[in-house]
Order: sequence, then C-alpha cells, then structure tokens
Amino acid sequence: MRNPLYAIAASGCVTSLHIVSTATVTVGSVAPPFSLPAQDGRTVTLADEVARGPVALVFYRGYW
Amino acid sequence: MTLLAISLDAPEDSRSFAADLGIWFPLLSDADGAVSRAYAGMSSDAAALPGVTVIGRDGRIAYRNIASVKDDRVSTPELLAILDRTVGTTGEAAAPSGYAAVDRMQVRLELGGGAIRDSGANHGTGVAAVGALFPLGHHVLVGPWLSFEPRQAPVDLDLAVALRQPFAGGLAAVQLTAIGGYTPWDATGWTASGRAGIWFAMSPHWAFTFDLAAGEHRLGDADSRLELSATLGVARLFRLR
Repeated sequence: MRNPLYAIAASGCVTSLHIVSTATVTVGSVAPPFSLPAQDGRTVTLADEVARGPVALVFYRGYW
Repeated sequence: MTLLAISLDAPEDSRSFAADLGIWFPLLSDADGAVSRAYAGMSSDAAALPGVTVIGRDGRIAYRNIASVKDDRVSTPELLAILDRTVGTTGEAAAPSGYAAVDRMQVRLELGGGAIRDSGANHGTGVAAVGALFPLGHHVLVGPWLSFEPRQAPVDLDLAVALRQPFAGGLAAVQLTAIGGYTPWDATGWTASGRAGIWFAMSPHWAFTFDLAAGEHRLGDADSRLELSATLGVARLFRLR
C-alpha cells in the first residue's frame, strides 16, 4: 500500500454500505410520527411540521 | 415546505456541524435510531442509511429514496424536481419558517459615537439606542426605538421603520431605517433621522449590527442640532411563532 493510488482506490470502496435492515414504509403509507430534538434545543414534532405543509426528511451520516 | 435533516448524532455534535457549514434548518438527533430504522434502515456500521423521504400535506409518504452507494443519492436538482412533482412546492421557500433570521424579531442594543453640530460648533458625542424591530415580510420592519445621547434630552421616544434587502440566504441584510419621534422632557422637542446599516446573524439567536446615522434634533424653535454617528450593536433574535 505504499503507492498512494492504492489508498485512493481503497477510499472509493467505503462509499458502498452493507445494509443490515431496511425500513418498511412505502410510498402512500402514513408517515410514522416522531418528535426529535434539534441542534438549537427545540423539539420538532413531525405532525406540527406536516400541519404547515409538505416535509422533506433527509437522513444523513457525517458529510454523506 | 419544511426540510428536516436527521442523523444519529447528539444535538451538541449537530450544533457544531451546523455552525461549521452554516446550516439553518433543523438537524434532528435520532440518538436511539428508532426514526432512522422506521424511515430509512441501518447499515452494518450502525448508522442510518442515507436517503430522502418526502411527506405530503396529508401526512403520507409521497416519495422516498434510500442510498447504499454514495452515487445513488438523489442530487439537489433531482430533489427539487421530485418535490415539485410530488407535493407541488414550486415557489415556496425551502427553509422552514422560523429558522431564517429575516423571519425573526430583532431586539437591538447599539452603542457608538459621532459628532453633533450645535450652535455652529461641532462636538463629539457618544450615542446609544435600544429598539425592537418586528418583521412585516422580508423587506419591511417596524417597531419602537429609544435613543440616548448625552447632549440631548435624556431619551427620545421614536418609531423606526426599516426597509431591507436580505442576502446570504436570509442570514444578513442591508437595511435603511427611518426613525422619528419626540422628547417627552421637552414639549417642543422632536427628532428625525435616517440610518444605513447592515446586520449579520451569527446564530439563530444573535446578530451583529453596524449602522451609519444622520439626524436632526430640534429642541425649541431655533435650537436645531445635526447629528452624525456610527454604531455597532447586537440584536437578540426572537422567533415570533
């Protein structure tokens, strides 16, 4: 692994994730309710946000 | 349209992440992974699968995309097209209301200095102001304003009306403010001034302000004083709803 090209090639491999569970929600099903804390200390409740309009949930990990 | 980003990170980690990237939408902490499991799924490294879920006004899932490979993630232009197609959001703000600094009330404390032209002579002076500005849409603010200046009466009771042009995604604005009012300690005293300024929100709760002001105080029929000043200040931002 002295050649930096190997490191670059190896780093490309970690962009594929091994899935161990997948969610059961499908398009058309009722969105599961939740309340979660935000970074400013506020608790965000999905139902409150949906009452104001459509919601996009983005699930992220680090800078992915 | 509300954007909510969800990860397993603790709120304090999300706070520094948001500060690093200048993020203003909510970063929600799903510490036990229950919401991530329900909506997205988990990978072997005990983190949520990255993905996007769109929920319509009826509370039902309108779209979902879960990526196990980085290149499978939906791009921003694709997501905008999907939102348009599924929930019809064209023309609506992408940020949730209440997170943009321009939607917030500002309570300002300003300190500065300048010069007053009084009876033909110029004098240096300190100035201070406390005001509350309520947003009426993105471009107009209005609210009470109190000005202090040691060469004048103790305090002016004023009303401020501001026009502003937000930039940097609503985190900052250039602002022109007209302030007028009277001095209750002098029956004939009144004041009128104009200010050109800029403010920049450093967090959802605080902004820095800088203003240049020119104004006139009239304390009697002949006693007119012209004042020029510059002020630096802080504004505490309050969510109105």
